[in-house]
Amino acid sequence: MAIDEERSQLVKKKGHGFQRDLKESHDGGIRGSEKFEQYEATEEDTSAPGKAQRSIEGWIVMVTGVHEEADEDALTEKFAEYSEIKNLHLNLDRRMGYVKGYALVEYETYKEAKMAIEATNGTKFYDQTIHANFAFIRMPAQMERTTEERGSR
Amino acid sequence: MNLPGSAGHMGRYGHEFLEFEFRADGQCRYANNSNYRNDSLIRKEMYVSSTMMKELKRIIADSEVMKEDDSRWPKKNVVGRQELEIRLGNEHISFEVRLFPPPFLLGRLYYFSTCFTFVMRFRPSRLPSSARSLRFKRAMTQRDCVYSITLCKILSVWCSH
Repeated sequence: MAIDEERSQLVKKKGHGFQRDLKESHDGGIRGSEKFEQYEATEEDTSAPGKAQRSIEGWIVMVTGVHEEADEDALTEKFAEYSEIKNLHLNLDRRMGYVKGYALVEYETYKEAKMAIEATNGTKFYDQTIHANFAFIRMPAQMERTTEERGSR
Repeated sequence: MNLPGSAGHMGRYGHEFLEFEFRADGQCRYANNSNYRNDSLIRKEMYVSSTMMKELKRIIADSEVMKEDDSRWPKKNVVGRQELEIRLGNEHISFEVRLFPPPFLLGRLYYFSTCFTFVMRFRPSRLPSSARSLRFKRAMTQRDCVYSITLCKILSVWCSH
């Protein structure tokens, strides 16, 4: 633990949460030992190349760099060019009322999502460069091996 | 290494709590418990992409929540509590506050907390029963406003540059 102590000396800490030495971990919480459900991938999901993971009803693309005055309809139009959008969320900043800067676009199949990502990543929207990528990825391989160890902690 | 974080409140519907955590490698864990309508615990885990983590860090930086200080906030009490813990670069905050303080008191934290609906809308795990999906949706719309949250919320984000 010497390395952690060294690191923690360089870190600026702030807040009342540090006053508790042992944060309580109750059953079921994040710290609890019960298992976490994970996405049960079907054959079709795992056959997709790369690391992306499917969500319940489709494949979700994360778009960042969206201009704060962007219109949801304009975004929908842009992404619908490539394939049919199943769902689109453009979240607003609650304080200012503008667009927060990211959007989540859901497509039915991996191919459609991939096509949209390749076509829009790095392009301009409202004169600002947007970036697109899959939102969720599969568990990194090295994690799978250590999951059992972690589960017994 | 995990940063601890746990919160909840005891009430009519049992020990209700809502917790989630992001780690640097993109692992995202979520736990939601309530006995409302005999409902039970939901625990889910997923991995988010580097694009998502990058956006998370941008939102944290933009919100300036790391500059916030909880010394003036009403302390947690028996009714319940909310906690936020973020480790970002060489700064580490760990705030505690009780349920339902007025938003103006919380300042940046209030608006920051409303940003985090985005991942939870799109959890990749399957929901086995319709009852659970109902509660999940109910929790989601309520999270639009800190005041309407009846579950305690915890957000623990561990990101390193």
